[in-house]
Amino acid sequence: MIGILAAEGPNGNFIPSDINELYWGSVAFGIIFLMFLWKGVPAISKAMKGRTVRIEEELAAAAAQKASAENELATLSGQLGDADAEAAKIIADAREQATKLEADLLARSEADVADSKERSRIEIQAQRDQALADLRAAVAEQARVAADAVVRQNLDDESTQSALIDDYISQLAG
Amino acid sequence: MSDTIDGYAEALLAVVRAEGASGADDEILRFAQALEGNDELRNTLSDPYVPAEKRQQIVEDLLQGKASHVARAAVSLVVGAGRAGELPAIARALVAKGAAASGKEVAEVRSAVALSDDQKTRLAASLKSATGKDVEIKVTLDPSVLGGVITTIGDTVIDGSVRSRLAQVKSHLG
Repeated sequence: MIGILAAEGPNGNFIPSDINELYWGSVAFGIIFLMFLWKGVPAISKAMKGRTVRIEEELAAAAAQKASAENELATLSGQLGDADAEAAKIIADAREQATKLEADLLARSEADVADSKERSRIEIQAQRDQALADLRAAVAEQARVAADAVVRQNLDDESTQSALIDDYISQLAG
Repeated sequence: MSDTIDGYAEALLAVVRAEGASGADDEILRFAQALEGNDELRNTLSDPYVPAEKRQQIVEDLLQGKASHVARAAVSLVVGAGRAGELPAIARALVAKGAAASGKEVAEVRSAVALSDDQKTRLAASLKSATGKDVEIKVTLDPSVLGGVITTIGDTVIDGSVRSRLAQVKSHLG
């Protein structure tokens, strides 16, 4: 390969035919190389370091974000767990309330029924008492009228009047 | 007993004794009892706007032929003096004083029919037996008694009337 390259040179050699060109080329190369070492390498090194630092910072930031995200995830997971527990508690409370409400409604319904029965019983009893009282009053009035008539009829007899007075006198003496 | 009633009773008793009208006190008492039971008559004879002469004329008309002149004069005197309202008390005081003079108390007897002399005697004996007091019977006919007798001695009432028994029966009936 080298032989091919050399053979392609203007003088057919590997080294250029003009030595000055080689010299100044080497000097220029050396200068450029030194300049590269003097300015380029530190700059590259600095750039590399800066890039490294930036990457490290970005990695650290990413790690921090990851940690934050993980914390957030943990928090959310915790909250989710709390929410589940809260939801379970709400459901349990709701069931308890529903059960209690059902029991209350049942008890109230039974009380209403009992109260209604008692009111009906009292009303029926009052109507029965009133009917009995009315009947009793009617019978008593008839009895009073009859007694009055019988007594007055008997008192028309003079001997009855005299006997009543004699009874009164006897009882006083008695 | 007020001094006024006592004074009138004393005065009338003196008149009755002076005139020797032993039954006049009974007649005065019967009129007084009739006055008690008749609101219209009592109001008329007590009305100060009715002239005294008019009131006395009413008394004369009512007692004419039914009472002695001593009784008519006594009642007329009381009514004319504007004391018709006090006449029952005066009459009772009169008979009480008359009875007390002979060591007796007055027993006012209300009956639907007249008592025979025998019944009066036995009643007086029975009342003495029951109360321990000698009594003078003053009988008043009162149809509202219906039958039997109601006796009043002072503040004591002994009710053996059919009216009260009938009232008791009516009360029991209802």
